Amino acid sequence: MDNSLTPEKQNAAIEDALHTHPVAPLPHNITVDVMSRIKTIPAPRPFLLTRNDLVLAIVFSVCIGAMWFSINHLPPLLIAQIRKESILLYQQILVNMRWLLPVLSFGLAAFLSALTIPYLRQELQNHREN
Amino acid sequence: MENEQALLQRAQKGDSDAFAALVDEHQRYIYNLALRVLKDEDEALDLTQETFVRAWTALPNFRGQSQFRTWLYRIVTNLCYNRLPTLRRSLTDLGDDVISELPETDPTFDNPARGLESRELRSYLHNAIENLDENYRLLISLRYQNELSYEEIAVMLNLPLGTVKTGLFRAKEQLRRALETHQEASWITP
Repeated sequence: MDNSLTPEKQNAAIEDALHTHPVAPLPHNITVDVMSRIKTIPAPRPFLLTRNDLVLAIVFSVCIGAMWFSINHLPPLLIAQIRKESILLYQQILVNMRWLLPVLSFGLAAFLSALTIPYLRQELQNHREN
Repeated sequence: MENEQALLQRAQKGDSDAFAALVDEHQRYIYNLALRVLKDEDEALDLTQETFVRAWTALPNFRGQSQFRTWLYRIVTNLCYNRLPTLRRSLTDLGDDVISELPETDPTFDNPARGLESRELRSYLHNAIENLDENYRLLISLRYQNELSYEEIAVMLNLPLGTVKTGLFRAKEQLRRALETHQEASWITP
């Protein structure tokens, strides 16, 4: 007897096996275990707008509004003056770029390093206590 | 019984009874997916619990863009990635060079005349499915056991659609080779 299957029958057999692969029964219901683990976790906080969020939003809106109002009501002479000063400042930066850039970079690096000092001190203290 | 959407809304507000009903409904499928990939009952059970605990903590972030069931599959898959560090890599390494797909024919192989033979073959193939590589087992499980579409699998696993198709194509090719080996062996020893 020829046991070989045609490619179509092979496909059919494979599809059949894929569709009929049995689902394993759960050894036991895990709902109780999950719920007991969940009880130790605080309930998820639903998304809510708090009063603080509202106050912050109002403050920001007032600040932005005040800036917009001021800019629109400045005397033209003052606007020209501001523009001139801005151009001068920009040129100053360009002229001093050669030393300004390294100083700012090192300054930033020093600042970030300084931020780690309290943590490192705490670690050192813990290490000594142990 | 209350529908899933209502249960979800209640669970999102912190109702643990509603969440327990959701756990009841989905645990079997999550467990089976984990079991298929990990091939270890205890680990699969542990992972299933972990999936629901994570789902509970992340529930406020669930916006309903996908089905809840698909969202759970995503969580369990991410947990599987943690347990099997090579799984994600093996999925992305599949590429998307598939030229054609195996046609999804109706499983009409099981006719009465060949009942016994087909049952034996089916059992052999079930065994072969369980012995596929972990990445193929994951894809096969998502496609056939959990009945996700190619697109849903691609979105869920964050893979290109072509990669998903390639993976399933190669999995079936492996099964076909296993079938041929089985056929040759049974031909030699009738």
